[in-house]
Amino acid sequence: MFFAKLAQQNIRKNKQAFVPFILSMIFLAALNTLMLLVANDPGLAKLRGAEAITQLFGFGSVVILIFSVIFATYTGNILNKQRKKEFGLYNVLGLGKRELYKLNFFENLFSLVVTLVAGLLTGVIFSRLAYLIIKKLLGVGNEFSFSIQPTILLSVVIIIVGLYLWLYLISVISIFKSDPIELLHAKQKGEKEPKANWLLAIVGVVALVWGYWIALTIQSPVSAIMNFFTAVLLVVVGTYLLFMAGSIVILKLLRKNEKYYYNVKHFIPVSGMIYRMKQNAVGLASICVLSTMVLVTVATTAGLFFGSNDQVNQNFPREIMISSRSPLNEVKKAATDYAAKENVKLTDLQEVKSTQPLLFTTENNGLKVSNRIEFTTKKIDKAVDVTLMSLADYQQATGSKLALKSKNDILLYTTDSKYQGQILNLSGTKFNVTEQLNEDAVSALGNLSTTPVPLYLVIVKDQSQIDSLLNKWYSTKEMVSYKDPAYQFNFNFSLKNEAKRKAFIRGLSKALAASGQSGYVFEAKDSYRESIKLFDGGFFFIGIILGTAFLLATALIIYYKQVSEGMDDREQFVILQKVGMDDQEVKRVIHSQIMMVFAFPLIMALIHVAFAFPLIKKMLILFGITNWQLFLLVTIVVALIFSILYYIVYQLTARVYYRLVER
Amino acid sequence: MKDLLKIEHARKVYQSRFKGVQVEALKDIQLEVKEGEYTAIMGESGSGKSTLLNMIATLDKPTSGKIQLAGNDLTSIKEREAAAFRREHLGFVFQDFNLLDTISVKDNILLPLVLSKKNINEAKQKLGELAEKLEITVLLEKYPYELSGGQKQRVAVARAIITEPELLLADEPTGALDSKTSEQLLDIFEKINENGQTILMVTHSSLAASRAKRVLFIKDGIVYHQLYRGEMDDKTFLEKINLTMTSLLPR
Ligand SMILES: Nc1ncnc2c1ncn2[C@@H]1O[C@H](COP(=O)(O)OP(=O)(O)O)[C@@H](O)[C@H]1O
Ligand SMILES: [Mg+2]
Repeated sequence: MFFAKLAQQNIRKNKQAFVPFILSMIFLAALNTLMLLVANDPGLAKLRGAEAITQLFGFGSVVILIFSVIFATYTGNILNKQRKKEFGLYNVLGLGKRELYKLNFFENLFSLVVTLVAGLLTGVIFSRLAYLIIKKLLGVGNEFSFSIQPTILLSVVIIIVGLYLWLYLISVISIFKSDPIELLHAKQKGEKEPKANWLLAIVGVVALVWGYWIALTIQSPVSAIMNFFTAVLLVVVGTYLLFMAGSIVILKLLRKNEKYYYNVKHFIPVSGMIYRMKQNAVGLASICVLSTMVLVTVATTAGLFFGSNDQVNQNFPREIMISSRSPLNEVKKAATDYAAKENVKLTDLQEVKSTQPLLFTTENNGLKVSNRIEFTTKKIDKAVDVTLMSLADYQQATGSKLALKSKNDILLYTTDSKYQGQILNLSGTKFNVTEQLNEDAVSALGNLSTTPVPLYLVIVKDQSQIDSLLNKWYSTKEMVSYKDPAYQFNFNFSLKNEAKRKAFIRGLSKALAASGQSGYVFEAKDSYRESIKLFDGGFFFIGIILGTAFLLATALIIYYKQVSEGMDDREQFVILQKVGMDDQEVKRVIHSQIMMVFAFPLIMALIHVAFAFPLIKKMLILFGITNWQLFLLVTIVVALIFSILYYIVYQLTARVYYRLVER
Repeated sequence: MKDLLKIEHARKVYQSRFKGVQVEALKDIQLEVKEGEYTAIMGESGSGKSTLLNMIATLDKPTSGKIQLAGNDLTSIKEREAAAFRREHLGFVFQDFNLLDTISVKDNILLPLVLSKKNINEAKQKLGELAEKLEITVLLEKYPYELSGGQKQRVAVARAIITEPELLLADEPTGALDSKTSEQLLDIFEKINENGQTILMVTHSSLAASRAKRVLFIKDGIVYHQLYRGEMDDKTFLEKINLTMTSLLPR
């Protein structure tokens, strides 16, 4: 086969172009193999909270697939560009387009075979590593089957073949559209200097500022989630436009200033940057966006993972929590009896009675009663939970000695940072806040609210006040359930051994079921911790996988940039020397240019992350992560590690560059 | 007239990449160039012309021997000083133009002045006059890749002489040009020489050499003959050069 042979020869001859291409395809194949193997492990379904985690991993594999298509297109296009001249030569030498298609087909076929073999192999090997990570992060593993399922490998093969077909289509179109002369000169043709496009630059600035503004001004966690993607989209668009148009506009302004521009220190850098930006704007913007994605995903998921203890502790002030709408007398008796029988001591007992968390909205003059029927998502930023409690119940639960003089006086505890003043207006009923309680004063009250909106705990003098307020607020039949009281019975128990704890919880749960009381909710901290760990660990795992994928993509883009610039700069280097710039100076200028080009996307990415921080902070509240200092620490550590990795990638690829320049 | 350039016993040996194999590009070069002269150095491809020119240009150093330019000893000059020396004393025109594609024609010409930290307003005035003289005023805002070969070479000449160098060095300046644009370039060389510019041109084309005032012949690493134009016209001088060349051919 003539073409098969020629194709083989071509790949060997064009190592510099083919090696990074095939490597990236292998990387994509491995990534998909790994992700699909993990996501479809039969053991996954056996885990507690399997549904969420399966969904999560399913989502992860879809993201990886989309990423694969984009990235394959990118490297494929670069390969095509690098090989245009060669195709032109073949064309001139007498290979028609039809033959070129054939040649290209065989080249793709060989690359495909290499990609599949190497990709599946590395994918399987790395999935072992991934399982180890999962074992560590999720604290599970025995459930996982670690099996290599042939159906999964088959779907990877289908994905990769699909990618190659797509790439083949692209190069066929590119060959089809070209004429031989153009092919021959494809690389020589000096690119036109880009127009300074003010409009695009301004649109870019607007998009970026808008995105930042959303991130900074977001009020509630729920609207953070709703606006997250809008903000991301705006920032991505803004980044691309700023890199493509904004940089050129600024550089050209600098060039217009003759006093500045015609100065040894600025002349070469500014002109060089104009040239570089026009060639690399898209690549640099992609590096910036990818870096931001790495940082955000890893920092968020790591924050979630490392914050999961807080999450557990916050939701579970006690190890066992039982709640109901009716008094928990039978349950209480059954629990103490069972504990006595098992010879386990119950400690830190809490008995709390209050109203249900009641949905209110903040208005100009105070809080206004609302309900889930009338409520629309538009009001989400105004929503708060109000819980009422009588002074007697409060004193009983906490042992507090605080008193209230009149029926107009209340004690108030609130997590609403916007609340100020001495007055609380609840749908027209005004109260005097005689004392605002701190967190310690309510720590004995268990879990007062399970929603992420701000909480108002209002302690009034008499239970009768509560009853009349509830009757006033919820007069219709549909809303009768709002009037139900909320009882909590929470305690810790003194068992250390994990197996014994598990057995005790199981036994307790059974004993309570047999107590005769119904309609209560039984929750154990241990079980919650387990499912949270699974969920957060799963997220973190996805974060690491995506982070690695984006990081490697970044590295590859950087590599391509170094190679293409090395070729161009060599010429510049020699000419500048001949015109009278000394060796050292030329090296310094080129080095500083490269540094700038590389530092720029990283710095932009770090700025993006800084602006994203408040937004993500709010979103994490939904997952119960309120310790934002911890999240800040995690983010800083992740940013630091990423910057170091980025620098290493830069150094490694810079070597390729200097080899080209100093040849 | 004073000697601007004086080369004594210059020898250049290249160490080949394969150990032990040495190439003696220049053996024993002896030559002087006086101020205001227009000299051509002729020789076949591979005879060491570019090597010689690169040494004069401080881009390379002789293995032994002495090169003096404008009172400076080039054999003992340091890399860093060499760059400054090139900037202040020399102008270059190359066969392949060596213009920076990344900057406009105007900026290419201004480049040496910017590197020498000259005042920009004076520099622009000089540029204006020079562009007028070389008929490239309309090209100033374009980019090198938009120009034809002849236009590029005129820009390169402008860049070379804008610093008013003591010596203009040209390595095969017509090598990439067709006969008509070659002619135009040589007209320019003649004109600037008449204005007092010293020129040293290296070429293997006798047609190009015939436009100079003096021609040196280089072969087997030595300057073995020279011709002065004297009162000869271009055509007679050319015939004489060609005659000398044929006598050089190995018998
Ligand atoms: N950097 C170098 N390393 C080794 N040999 C060289 C180098 N440069 C030139 N040469 C050799 O020196 C000789 C003269 O080259 P050159 O000066 O370029 O000739 P010309 O310019 O007259 O064509 C040739 O044999 C060439 O191969
Ligand atoms: Mg030469």
